[in-house]
Amino acid sequence: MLRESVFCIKTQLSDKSVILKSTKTGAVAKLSAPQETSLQDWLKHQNEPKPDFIDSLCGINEILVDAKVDEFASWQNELLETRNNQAKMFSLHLEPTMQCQLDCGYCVEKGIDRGSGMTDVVFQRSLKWLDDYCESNPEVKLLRLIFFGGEPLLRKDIVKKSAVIYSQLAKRRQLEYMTEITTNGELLTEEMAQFLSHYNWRRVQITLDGPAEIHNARRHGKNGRPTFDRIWSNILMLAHSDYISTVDVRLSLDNENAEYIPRLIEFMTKAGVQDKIRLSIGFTESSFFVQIKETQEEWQAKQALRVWKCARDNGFKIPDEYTTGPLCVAQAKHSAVLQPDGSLQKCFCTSGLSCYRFGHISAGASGYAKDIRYENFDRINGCIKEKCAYLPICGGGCTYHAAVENGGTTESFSKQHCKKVLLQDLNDGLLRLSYGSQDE
Amino acid sequence: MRAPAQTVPNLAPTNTQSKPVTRQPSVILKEGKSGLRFGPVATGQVALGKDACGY
Repeated sequence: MLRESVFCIKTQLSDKSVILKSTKTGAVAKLSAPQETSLQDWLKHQNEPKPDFIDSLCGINEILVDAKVDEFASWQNELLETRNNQAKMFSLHLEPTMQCQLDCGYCVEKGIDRGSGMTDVVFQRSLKWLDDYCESNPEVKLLRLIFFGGEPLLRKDIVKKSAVIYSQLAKRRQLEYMTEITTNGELLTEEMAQFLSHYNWRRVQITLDGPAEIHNARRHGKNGRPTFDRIWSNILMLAHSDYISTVDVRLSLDNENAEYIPRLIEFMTKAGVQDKIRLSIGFTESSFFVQIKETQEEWQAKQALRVWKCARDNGFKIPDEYTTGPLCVAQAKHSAVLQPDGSLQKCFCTSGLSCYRFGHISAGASGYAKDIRYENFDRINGCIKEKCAYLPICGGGCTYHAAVENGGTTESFSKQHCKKVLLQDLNDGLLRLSYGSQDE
Repeated sequence: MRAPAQTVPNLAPTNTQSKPVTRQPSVILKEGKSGLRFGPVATGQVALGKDACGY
């Protein structure tokens, strides 16, 4: 006996055809209205002749599944097995400094002690610590070095020597190696791009908040110094060169800038570099020190879909799904944020807050990078109880924001951060935009 | 028999063989994957361009 998967979501298009999608496997199917009717009829009378498309919905696609299978239990086991026993990549966020030349009002790091940058002593100790870590965790086969901050390019010296020496360490230990950077983009010169391109540079993420006047009002330097022109010029430099295959442009979105984002997309379109830019949307949310005016999930989805429609219509690639999990970098077994003072955390959102440290490089590395606050996987039990179809692309939601909402205590990290309405509305809309007609 | 992998809407392939064969019409627009799709940090695949926190 077959049934529709508990992880199957459906969207009806304007021509009455139906999109079925498995949030677990990512499979997408499109049934005409008569096919959908025959599917529902056959599911009720499975002793009757089977419509010929049924088999393609089964197997690896898992849109239809064996009725006896407990999909939630099976998925939960797979999540834990993968996380605990199949982790091969070590994601190391390296923060050369917590200083930043920008003064964005909503910065998650606003209010922290930004201290001084990483010293050479800390840097040298970090090499020993990383070497020990690899020794203690031989299952690690890939080192992913992500420069973060603060603004990492305020300390190009550390970025450069890290890329050189960490990649050498990886080579010596026969690990694959890759470099990524999250930067505001203002200091990302061609010389720096050329340098990074020699170290398996796989990702750069730069945030824009709107067209120039909106971006400059939000992501300005000290004393309101405008930053858009320089950042855009650097994005274009990357887009017109081969230092990296794709530039990830992050669009912050909240009620103060949402209406202007389509104008930014139209501006970017004029440069004709849509094939080199990959857009993503980041909803601005409250942090421990900054309260962001709350917006409804329905509103967020509506605004995001407006942005994605504009992006699609202007020739940018758009995603066919919106995901928030199920495993973030902080929940990964092998991950750490190395702060300028040598202390270690799991999530870069808590950078600079000493209460969220789980260790220090001077203590050496034995075992894996463990912080029990990010290991409470029972937090998804509530999602399972309510049979949420979005669990495979959510995983209970962001641990950090759950902590912010619930007081930041150890207990608060075990709470769900449910964004089901956002997941529902946004995924419904993205399926329409991706698989429906231009008018959807 | 499973439908061939496709990433865009498609019609069933035209049967040019003389002998009739039973071939299901393709309703699959995107083939599913086994395992955790978004366990990139756990499995060694890198999640690029993701939403939420960007990782």
